[in-house]
Amino acid sequence: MILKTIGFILRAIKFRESDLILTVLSRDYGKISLIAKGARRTESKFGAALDLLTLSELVFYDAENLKLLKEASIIEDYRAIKSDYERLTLALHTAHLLNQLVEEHHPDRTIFEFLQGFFGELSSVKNLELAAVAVKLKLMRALGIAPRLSSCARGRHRLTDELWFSPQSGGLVCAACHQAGDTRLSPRLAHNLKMLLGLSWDKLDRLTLSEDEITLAHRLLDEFMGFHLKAPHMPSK
Amino acid sequence: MDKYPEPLENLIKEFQKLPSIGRKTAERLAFYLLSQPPEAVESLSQAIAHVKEKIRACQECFNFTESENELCEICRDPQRDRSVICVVSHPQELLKLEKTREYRGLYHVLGGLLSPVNGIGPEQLHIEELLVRLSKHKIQEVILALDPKVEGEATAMYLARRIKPLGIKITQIAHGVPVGRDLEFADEVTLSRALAGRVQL
Repeated sequence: MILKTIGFILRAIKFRESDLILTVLSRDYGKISLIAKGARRTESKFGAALDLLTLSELVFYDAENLKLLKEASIIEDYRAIKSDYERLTLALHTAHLLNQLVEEHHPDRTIFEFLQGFFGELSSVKNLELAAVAVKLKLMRALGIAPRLSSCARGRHRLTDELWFSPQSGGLVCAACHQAGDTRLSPRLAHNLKMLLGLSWDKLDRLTLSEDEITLAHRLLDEFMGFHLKAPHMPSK
Repeated sequence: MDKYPEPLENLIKEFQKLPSIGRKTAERLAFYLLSQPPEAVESLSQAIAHVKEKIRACQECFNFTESENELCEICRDPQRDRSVICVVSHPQELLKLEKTREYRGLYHVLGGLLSPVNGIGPEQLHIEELLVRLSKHKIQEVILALDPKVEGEATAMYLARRIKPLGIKITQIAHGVPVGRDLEFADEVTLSRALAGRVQL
């Protein structure tokens, strides 16, 4: 059967002499693996359509145990991201994170639209440190496991200015419910995390987080993802 | 008998450790060797042992060199232009460039490309050694000959940022349509690069 979709190239592994095994986040079939024969050759018909982070139209043969790429053409190359080292690094980390967290063959438009939206706005985002935190929050929301930031994740109580974070309980914890092992965090950081989750990419610059707050936010979110998604390796940014 | 005799089974398992070799291919290679005369097998076995024993990295550019020499053939050659360094990711690419006979300068082999997601950062590559070479010798130009893909571009951007303060000219090999191909089949990204790198006739 021949299928057609559009998708982001998340990963490309060398295979045999000149082939690639691609991991693609497709719009219609979720995360899929495709074999692109001869893709590493200079004269390959696929050209730049299989470069990482590119959004391409993909036509492939779908056999029982094998998906073989037949045609690929570029829809969006994201040149503005790829020509800026910091933006490119953040985009690559995002693709890597998504590749680790999303299972194959589970079509989910929300996740596809998350990535499309992020790559579409990344070239104009000013504060990339904040964007790196927002990526984790928004990706978790797209996956349906965003941390609870509006009420106590353990006892469902209203939150006050005394706050802790518990990855195991699923988010912020109030003074009445906190236990040994929870991490204390400031009301300002808790508020900003909630804001980061809600703000669109172009409005992120309204917020400011200190270097220490960003480090703590990454640590808490990595622990949260590690606990809930059993992610084996989580980049800090 | 549910498996081959131990020596044959061991050989098959060793072949299976090689990239892209599955059980069937490993068996085929093992049976082929079994069918060969002893001297042919001995020659292969010696070649494998010697490559590990005798090949090492050049102390200057990290190209392959034989163990008795600290420097590779190119770094030792007094006829080479010592004011230009061409940066490649692997020695295999160096050899390709040598085959063009268009370049007579020196090389620097990085040992890979920056890949943040695979944990390959600047410290995993021979970047600091390149910067030391650039500050020690009178280099006028650095040519970046890296893969025209995301990891190659990330590496090129990083190198350009580190080299620019040294006041050395940095160039990149042209990217574009492969020779002998029809323009009609080139994608828009490749064509736009080709246009950006056009030359006056």
